[in-house]
Amino acid sequence: MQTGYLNTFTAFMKYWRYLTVVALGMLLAWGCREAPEQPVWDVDAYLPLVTSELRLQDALEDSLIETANDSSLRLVYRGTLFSYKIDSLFTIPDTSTEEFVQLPFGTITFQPGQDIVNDTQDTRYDLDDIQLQEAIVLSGSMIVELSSTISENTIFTYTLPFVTLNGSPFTLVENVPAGSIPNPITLTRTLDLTGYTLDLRGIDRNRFNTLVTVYKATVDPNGNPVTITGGDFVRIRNTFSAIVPQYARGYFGSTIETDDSEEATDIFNSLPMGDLNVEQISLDFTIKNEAGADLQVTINELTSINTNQNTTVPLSSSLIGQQVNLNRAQEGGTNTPPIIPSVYTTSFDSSNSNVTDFVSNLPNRFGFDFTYQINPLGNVSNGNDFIYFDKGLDLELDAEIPLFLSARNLILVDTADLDVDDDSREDTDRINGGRLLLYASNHYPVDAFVQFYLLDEDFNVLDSLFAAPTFLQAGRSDVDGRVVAPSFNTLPIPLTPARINTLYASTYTVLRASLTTTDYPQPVRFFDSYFIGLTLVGDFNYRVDFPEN
Amino acid sequence: MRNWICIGLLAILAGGNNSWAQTILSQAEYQPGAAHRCGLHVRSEFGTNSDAITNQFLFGFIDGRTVTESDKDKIMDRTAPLNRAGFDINNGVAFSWRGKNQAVGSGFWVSVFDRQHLNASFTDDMLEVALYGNKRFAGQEAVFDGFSLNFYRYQQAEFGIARALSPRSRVGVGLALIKGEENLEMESDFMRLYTSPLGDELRLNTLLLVNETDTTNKGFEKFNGWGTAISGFWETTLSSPKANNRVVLRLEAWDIGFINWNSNSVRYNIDTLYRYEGTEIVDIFDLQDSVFEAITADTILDELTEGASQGSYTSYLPPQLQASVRVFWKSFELWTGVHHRFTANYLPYAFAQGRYTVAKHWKVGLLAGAGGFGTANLGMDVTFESSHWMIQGGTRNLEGVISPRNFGGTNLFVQLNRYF
Repeated sequence: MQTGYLNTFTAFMKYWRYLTVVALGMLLAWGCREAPEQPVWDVDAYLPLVTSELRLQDALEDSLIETANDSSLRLVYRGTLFSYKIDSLFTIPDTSTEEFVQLPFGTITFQPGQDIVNDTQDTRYDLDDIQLQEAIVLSGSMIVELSSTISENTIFTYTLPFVTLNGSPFTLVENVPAGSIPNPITLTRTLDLTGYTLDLRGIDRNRFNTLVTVYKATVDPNGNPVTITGGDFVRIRNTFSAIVPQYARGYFGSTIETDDSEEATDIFNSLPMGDLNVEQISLDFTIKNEAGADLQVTINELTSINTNQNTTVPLSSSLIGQQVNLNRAQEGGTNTPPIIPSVYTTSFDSSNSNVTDFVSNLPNRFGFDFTYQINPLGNVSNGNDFIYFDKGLDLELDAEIPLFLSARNLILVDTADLDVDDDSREDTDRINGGRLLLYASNHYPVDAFVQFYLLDEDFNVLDSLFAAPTFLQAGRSDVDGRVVAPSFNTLPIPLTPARINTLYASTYTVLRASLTTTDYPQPVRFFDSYFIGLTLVGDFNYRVDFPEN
Repeated sequence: MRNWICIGLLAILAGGNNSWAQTILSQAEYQPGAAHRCGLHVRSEFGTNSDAITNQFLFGFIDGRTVTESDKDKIMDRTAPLNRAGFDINNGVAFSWRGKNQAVGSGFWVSVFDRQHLNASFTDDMLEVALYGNKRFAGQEAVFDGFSLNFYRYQQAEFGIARALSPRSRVGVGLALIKGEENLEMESDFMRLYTSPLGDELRLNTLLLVNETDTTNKGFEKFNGWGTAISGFWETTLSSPKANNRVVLRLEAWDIGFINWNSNSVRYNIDTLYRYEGTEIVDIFDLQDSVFEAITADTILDELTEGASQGSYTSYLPPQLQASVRVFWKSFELWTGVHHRFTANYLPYAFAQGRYTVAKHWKVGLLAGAGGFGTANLGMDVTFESSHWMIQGGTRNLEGVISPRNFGGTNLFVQLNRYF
């Protein structure tokens, strides 16, 4: 048996050395090889990527567009074009008053509990010809500074008997420690006046703009008698700070104010720039008086301003230059605050104004120049004018603009953020080349030349998607101008690895479209069934491999 | 006592003289000859084949090569309306012994194997879409009917008994316990992919049943199910055992069993016409990531697999049967037979193998076969054989090595028997 083993072993070893060399070689080759890779190959893929329907309605806020009974579209705008807040005329200025008592010479001894000073004052505020009788504080404070050189604790009592909160008068009681002439003691307190009602009729309740204050300084009843010498003083100083009234009542005078200003508007933001003619426009202007005082308003100028095209169109109508008398608002009703405003409304269309040009200018700002007079007939309310916070004069617009228009080379420019996440690079890096096919079915009666631009973060153009602005044909219309069949357009977008890199490097995309309605200058009507159907298809040569896991 | 000593000597290698069959799983080869009482068997094989996919493509998985248009054309030239592919990886050890009073050919064995098996059937259209893309099917329907894919990975421990019924015949049977590791089953009798002429619409119309084990619990050590399987053989010598041209008829069966996958498994029963027109966005300026995310198939798969249900299910292993005849001459043996694997997208495989003793201890074998997962195959093996050792290595797919662009099989096997 042992001999058999030996023979077997010898025979095996004879060849084993060769096998060993081969095996070691294979192991070495295997160990030194690169990590296993995967086979790759290229396929031609047709892959739908994105579908979308572009509707004019979607580009506008729901509140800005309506569908009429005949399913045509119209822009609507109901809102305040301009507000002039006249409550700012009746604020109480940041004024200070002071009670200062000083013994000029000699000495006086005061017993514990004895008043050093006890005085009541009427303080009248200068508000020109405005005569306020009552005000309720929305916000604001009073800063009270108490100073004393008395060599004993002194109790200061500061009271506003006609400034009340829930029926209780405003009162401040402070104990000022003993001081001296070289080292007077001063305490400062800031007190919130929010919600307080100010009765400004003075002590006799027949005045206006007048606040009653009671000052008192008393020797500490638990202290010692104190002798005041020449030069000793007590002082109480109060300052109203940033008082904003929630409500004010009185006579507001009969001032005349003139103002001009501009207000931004976004009503036409979604409409493109260019040669646009909008038909059958109807505008209602409403002037609303929310002040409890008669107003006489004259709109000297109302201007449609398009800062993009640097064009201005003044409104030409009977409203301009006309004195409009507005009765005072009434207190009551269910609104908050309880006001029943008085209103004046006037309507314009193309028959009584240049409203077509005014709107076709596609304003992004409105300019105003107006004059108003409060109480043109004087104090007919016997001092019962009123105003609530943030109320005054409003100019409101109620516009209905049918999308019945003609346009030529109307330029639509829209910029959007582009943030392509690098996570998708693993997929897009496999695209060897090809193109994106944008299939567009156009149901609108508008021909368009379309181009997309890719911009970097500094708005520098990096690339454009189409070699040249690409034509998107209008839908086919019937004799009534209504589109009955969409046009189908194929817009190829060459796609290369370099362009894909540009996509990742881009921060913004800009769509620039030049729009012309069919049969220009005949106006065409837009219906709610119109849309542009978009389908983006990848026509890629795509590298396929197996994911490593 | 001798049996236990044999088990304790697992690490010690000794000699033997058996050959082996068309799979390393053949238990009929385990039994020690007259000169020995026990044997240790180490066996490893990897094999893959397809009647469509070529080795040129397959080798890309090793060296990462780019599959050229010419390579793809070669694959498509081989396709039929319905095509097959499969692979097996089996690695294991077995120990066999014969009792003191048992006859030669009788005995016991225990074995432990790690096994992977995949089989698939697919149409030429499916392969064409995969290799060339769907653009060439614009305006047409690509037919994927009859698609199936079954993948099993499991470990089994088997105990078997062989018994000599007479000096001329013997029989053996083994019972395996199975630890299920991973499974994926996909079956579709009807699956069509339509690409619109403009590429703006894809329509997948399918009846597809998918069973899949817990994808978060993968790995050799993970347990996702259990099962059992039996195997067996019957062998008889048709001529005198002492004749020079002894003729042996053998019938074998493997993998008659099942695996019950646990309740963390998922079943997708997809009966749908899925229409895909791209990611729908409200605003074109929301393009951004949507475009690029749409390129991935995740969103489509998510929608297709919405109706998943979780629960256990049972897979029946594809059973294997083999009938063969071996004729032994002094320095040459001829082995021919038929092997079949049921429910595995497999054609009956016919083979003939000759093995010649070229020198003392050394034999060289040549094999020819047809069927299985592939078409026709040629194989070769080299055997070192002594009184205590048998070491063998080879391949059943030389044609795939010689002409990888035209053939699809790859196979390597190694086995080592030590008898003592």
